[in-house]
Amino acid sequence: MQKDRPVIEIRNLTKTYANRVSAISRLSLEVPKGIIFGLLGPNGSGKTTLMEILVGLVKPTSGKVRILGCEPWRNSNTVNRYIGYLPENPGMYENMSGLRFLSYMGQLSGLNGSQAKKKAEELLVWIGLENWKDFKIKSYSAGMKQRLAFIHSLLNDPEVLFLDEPTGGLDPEARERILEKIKQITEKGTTIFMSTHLLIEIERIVDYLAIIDSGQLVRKDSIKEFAREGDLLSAYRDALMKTKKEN
Amino acid sequence: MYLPILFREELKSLVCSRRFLFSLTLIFLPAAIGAWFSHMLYHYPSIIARMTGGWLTQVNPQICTMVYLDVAPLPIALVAIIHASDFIAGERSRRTLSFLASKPVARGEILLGKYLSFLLIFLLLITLNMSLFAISLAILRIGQIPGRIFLSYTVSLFCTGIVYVSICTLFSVLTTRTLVAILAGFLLLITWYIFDWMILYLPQGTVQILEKFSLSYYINRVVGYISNSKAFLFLGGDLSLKVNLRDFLESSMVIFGLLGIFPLVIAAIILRKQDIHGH
Repeated sequence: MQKDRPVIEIRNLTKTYANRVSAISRLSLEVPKGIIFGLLGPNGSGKTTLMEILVGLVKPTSGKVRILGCEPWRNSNTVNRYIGYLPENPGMYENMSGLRFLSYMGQLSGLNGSQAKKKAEELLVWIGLENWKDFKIKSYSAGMKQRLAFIHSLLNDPEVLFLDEPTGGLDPEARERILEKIKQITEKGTTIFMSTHLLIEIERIVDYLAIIDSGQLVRKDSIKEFAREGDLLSAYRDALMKTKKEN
Repeated sequence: MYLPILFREELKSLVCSRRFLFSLTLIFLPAAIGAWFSHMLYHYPSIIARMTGGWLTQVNPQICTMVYLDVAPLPIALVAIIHASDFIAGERSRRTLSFLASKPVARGEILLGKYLSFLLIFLLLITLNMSLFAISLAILRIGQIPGRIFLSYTVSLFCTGIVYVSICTLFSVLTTRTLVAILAGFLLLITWYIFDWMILYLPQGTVQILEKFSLSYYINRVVGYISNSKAFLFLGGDLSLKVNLRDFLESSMVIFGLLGIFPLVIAAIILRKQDIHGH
């Protein structure tokens, strides 16, 4: 891992699927260390595909991606030691208890059995699920499952955390709890790369924002710069309109 | 490096699953039915005489096992198909594969963990199935199956199973739905089984060419060698076959190498190159 570089570097990234659908098109981005970087865009704009490429689940068609100096697709085993990932609408091992699920995932993240269990119990207390730790996941509510999936991404104390719509489908209270926790994590120096549809979340916690549409980067700025121009929704609409006219 | 963790967890999940209970039924019910059928053949020899056109007029434990082994591979293969088809396709459809693949675990390890844990359980189930059948024959006073013959027939079931587990693992990697992989596996099973029977009724010249595509042809040679040419499969065709070491090694290579390890390696390569989507 190389120091003094952006933790996430994306250069001319393109992803075209076998059916010739272009999900990402010549996208370039850099994300410095220790910030919350937000990704905003309409449905089908390529946010999830970008996230999946960054965590090494999807192979880019062309272009370069580096996470902490390593290419995630080629060196996924190395990169995955330093990152955490919360997928969008994650599935769950419904027949496992919350504690068993976290201990299992912890061991797969490189912790030994007792370390994984200890870390799992700490995180369950931190997120407020300690009373449910021995219950099967299938008995959890949607919000509890999302909280469980969220803390699963923190088991290895990641340097970079990828969150794909971390508050999707949650009630206001559960959403608030997760946003609070995200802010707490950044205080430790973790870089967060998150996608969301909720402008209010972005205004509250994000430092930098990138807007993408049809797999292309439309605009990237600090949230202060967006705020200076008025409300975020207008800035978002303007950015999308401008690109559509150009195309 | 992570294989023992994956192996242990898969083993726990497998034993606690509903599918496992269904598999137990599929494994033990045929043994019970097989024993009852053997009992009928033993007490009513006219049945076996009619079945074989007068070639056999009475049965012993060895004949009973041979008859049983013509049917037992079907449920055994079905259990293999049902479980192996779910290895990757199931993780994909339940959207849990992205959890595993975003950990510092090689995708091949994920596949191997599932494969080996199932194989261990499968071996135990097959041994229990054959033991139950052998015990039933003893209780029904038909007689005892000699140890070597018992071993050779157990190996034959395991050979059948390993072939279907490996091929269906490949199907599981290629599809996104477990049901599609199960149907593909089931189709293969039926085609192969019908083919094995069909060969028995073809002219000798044609048989010599086509038998090389029959699974029973190879399993028969493994069984024959292990039992010292005392036990065979009826579906294998030749009941007076003398199997030498070369035949045995060639057949083992086909079963374990070409039909066992090769599909697994291909599955691991494909999985390594596949895009994994969490949604």
